[in-house]
Amino acid sequence: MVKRLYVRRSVNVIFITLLTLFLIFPFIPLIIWSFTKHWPWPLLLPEEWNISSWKYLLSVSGRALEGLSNSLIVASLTLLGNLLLGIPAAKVLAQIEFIGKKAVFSTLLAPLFIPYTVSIIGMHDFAIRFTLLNEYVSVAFAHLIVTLPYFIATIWFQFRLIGNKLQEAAVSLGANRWKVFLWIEAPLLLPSVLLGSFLVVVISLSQYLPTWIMSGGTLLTMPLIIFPFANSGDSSIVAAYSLLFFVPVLLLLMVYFLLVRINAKNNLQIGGEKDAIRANKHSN
Amino acid sequence: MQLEQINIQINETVIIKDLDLQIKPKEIFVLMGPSGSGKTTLLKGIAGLIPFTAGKQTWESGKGTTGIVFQEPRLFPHLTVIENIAFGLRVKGTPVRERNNKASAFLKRLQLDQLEDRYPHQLSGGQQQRVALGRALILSPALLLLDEPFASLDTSLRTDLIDWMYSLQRKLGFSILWVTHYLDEALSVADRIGVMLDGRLQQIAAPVELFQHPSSENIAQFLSLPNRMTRLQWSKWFKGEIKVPATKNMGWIDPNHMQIVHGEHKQENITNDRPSSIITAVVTKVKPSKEGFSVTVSADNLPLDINMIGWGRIPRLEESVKIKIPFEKILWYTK
Amino acid sequence: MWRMNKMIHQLNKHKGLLGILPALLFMLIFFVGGAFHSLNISLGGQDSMSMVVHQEKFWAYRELINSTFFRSLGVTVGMAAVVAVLSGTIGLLAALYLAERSKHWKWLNIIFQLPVGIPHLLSAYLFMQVLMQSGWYSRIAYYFGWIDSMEAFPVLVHDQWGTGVIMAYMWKEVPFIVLLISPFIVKLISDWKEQSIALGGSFSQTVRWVIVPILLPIWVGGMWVVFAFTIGAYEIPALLARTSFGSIPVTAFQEYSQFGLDRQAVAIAMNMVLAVISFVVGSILIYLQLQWYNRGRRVW
Repeated sequence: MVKRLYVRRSVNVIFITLLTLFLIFPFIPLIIWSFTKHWPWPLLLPEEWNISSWKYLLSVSGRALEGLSNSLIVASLTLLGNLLLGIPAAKVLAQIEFIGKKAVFSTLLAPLFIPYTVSIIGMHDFAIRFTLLNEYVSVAFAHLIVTLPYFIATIWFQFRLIGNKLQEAAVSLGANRWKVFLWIEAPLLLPSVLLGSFLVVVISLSQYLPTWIMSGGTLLTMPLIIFPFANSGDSSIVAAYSLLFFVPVLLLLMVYFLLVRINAKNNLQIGGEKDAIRANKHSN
Repeated sequence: MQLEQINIQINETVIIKDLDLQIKPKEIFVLMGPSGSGKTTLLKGIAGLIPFTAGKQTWESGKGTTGIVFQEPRLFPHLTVIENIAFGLRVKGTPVRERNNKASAFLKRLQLDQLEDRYPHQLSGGQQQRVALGRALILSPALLLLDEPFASLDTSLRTDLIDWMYSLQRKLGFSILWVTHYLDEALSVADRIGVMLDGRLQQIAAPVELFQHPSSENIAQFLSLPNRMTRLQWSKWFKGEIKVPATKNMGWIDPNHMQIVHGEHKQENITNDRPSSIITAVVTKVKPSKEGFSVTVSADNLPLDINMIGWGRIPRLEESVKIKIPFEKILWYTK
Repeated sequence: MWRMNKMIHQLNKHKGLLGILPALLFMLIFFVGGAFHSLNISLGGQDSMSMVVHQEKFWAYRELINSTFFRSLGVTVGMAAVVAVLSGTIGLLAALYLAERSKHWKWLNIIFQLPVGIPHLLSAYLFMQVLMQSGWYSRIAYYFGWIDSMEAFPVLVHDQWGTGVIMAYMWKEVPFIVLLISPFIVKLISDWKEQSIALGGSFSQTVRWVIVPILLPIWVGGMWVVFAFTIGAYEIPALLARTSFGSIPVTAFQEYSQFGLDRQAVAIAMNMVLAVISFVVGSILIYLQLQWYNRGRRVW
């Protein structure tokens, strides 16, 4: 019995170790490649190091900064769209019962469950008919299709956790709908809005196909710049681009944790609130 | 089952301290105590859900089994009633057909057979709790641990279930360690009652004895015994020495045993061979009760509760009244 | 008065519903509308920008009826299914392990969330760098003396079985599944582990008989998301699969981007087939779930 337990535990540890190595190992050659031009097989580490790839990247012909700024503009527009469309929709879905709710919810989440390429090809065809649409805006529309389901699901979940009791208390004290939202719901919602926004920006930054189709391959965001290099096989340049891509992601991650922490400090009660909600759910 | 010198620590906090407890076969032992006194922790410890930091747990019959039921039924939401009941058998590896037969037969015994194929959310609160009890009992545990099992149910349903549980236990003959904070629940089932304060078992006694001889003021307070006065105060009211052992420095009296008397009774009572005293007091509160009125008066600035039987003359607030206190009805204990 | 109140109540109720309109309209116009517009183009209707006039309405779809496309379809759907089931299973095991252990190892959680923030394009590239015959893993194998030449390392990129493709997908999707189901697993363990142990159950019995059944709708939903994504995604097979592998999104995008407006209809038709398959798979899953619930279960 003891021996079987021991075997099972070792199997678990081996499984999780292999999985962890599987996840982190691919990063190592990436970092190495960005600092060398010449790294012949079978050397585990290259013999000469240089930063010429980084130099190329940051030069005008490297277009890295252009790609980065294009990516960020699109991501910001996408985020804006998510905030405007997603929060009210999530609120309704979480708090109000109505006929056809399941159908509405399914429609909003559909891009998660059905490949969206066809829709985006159609949208592109729409867009070239209305030539007045800005390229950034139309690409952001495509990204909005991809990201909105994630955003709505995240916010919806938090709305469900918050429940209705606090709002009822506020209404009984004379608060109107907007005050309830601003004073009660918004602060409790903030952590999940931050998480949702982080997801939206990261997903938007990653999109290749929707960006290509929607802009006809002309709006050079980071993935569109990297792809040809990755295909051509200049390992060093791609490695540098990839690492550059991580910079906004990591920055955002840091900003996210910072904001969450500030928020937690300012609203100590939110933590308590969550516990209360949990306790409440349990007792029900 | 026997517990010796049990200690339980969770995250450096000592919850249970040096606890000794013996539960006899076929006994219902009721554990009472304020919230936070460690009752649930002790139960989980006995059930093996929390490790003992120190101490020894032994059984008369070598190795005993326990079953535990919490305040919430905790029925598995994806399983039917019969599947919930059979869960423990499934864990033991009983074949499907055998465990279904067993579970069905057991459900009949619990008078739940018409609910077999329902899911938990289709049951009422009382039915859910009965299924939860059945789920633990089908494994025929030597000791059933109940953690305020009926606390979230309506009063009438609660009394019904208490009776149901009691007769089931008398029929099947297992022991129960029953945690509750309802005194009526404790009194209607308990063979013995233990009172737990701050992680220690302060007193173990038969229910009657607990009221007659609470072992400390803390316990008297926990039991909300009425009209608790010091020996000094009583001797003031009885105008003389009190003939009880010197260690018994507190006494309490039930509100039913005191009377509000009117002027003409006064002389007669003093000459009575059963001593009683008559004191003067002022009415501070009157509230109706099932039997009549329960009146609070103030005597020597101390509050006294008195029950008046019948709906005769209602005492007025601020009215000065005479109270008759029979000495023999005072129960003495040590502070 | 009562009627009045009811009317005001109704009005307020509908006013509350307004919040959902912008998002719903957006999805209806662009996601649903865009799909229909595409369909229209692919049918060769008047909206087509094509210069060539096709007599038949369904020519693009008819063109797909051939053994090459069917084989590609099998490969694409099969690969998506393999990725979904494998990452679902491994993700579940990992999430269970992390839920039990993560109090001690917070950094493990961070590692498991790292790939979520990294685009599929880069995941493909990362795997190219480690799996190639001249890649890092082959160097490690050489270093340990397991192989003595580059050619001795198995072909994992651009190979016959799409090994590299599947691994690159797993690298992205296992963490996705973990991220999705972890909060639920933590909650389920805290809700049910104690009760299950009290009835004599071991941890693995608790997992098999309690946690997984209750988690089932979310877990299967997560695998469906992975399936739907994988079936339509371009970057990973474009970089890691050989041309003859025949991943449909890759072929479709080539048709779309390289062969002119003429072939746009074919590209749409191919993607349409994938969307329909995903929709059908989803409908089957939803039907099964409704069956499951109709027997009276209610788990969330």
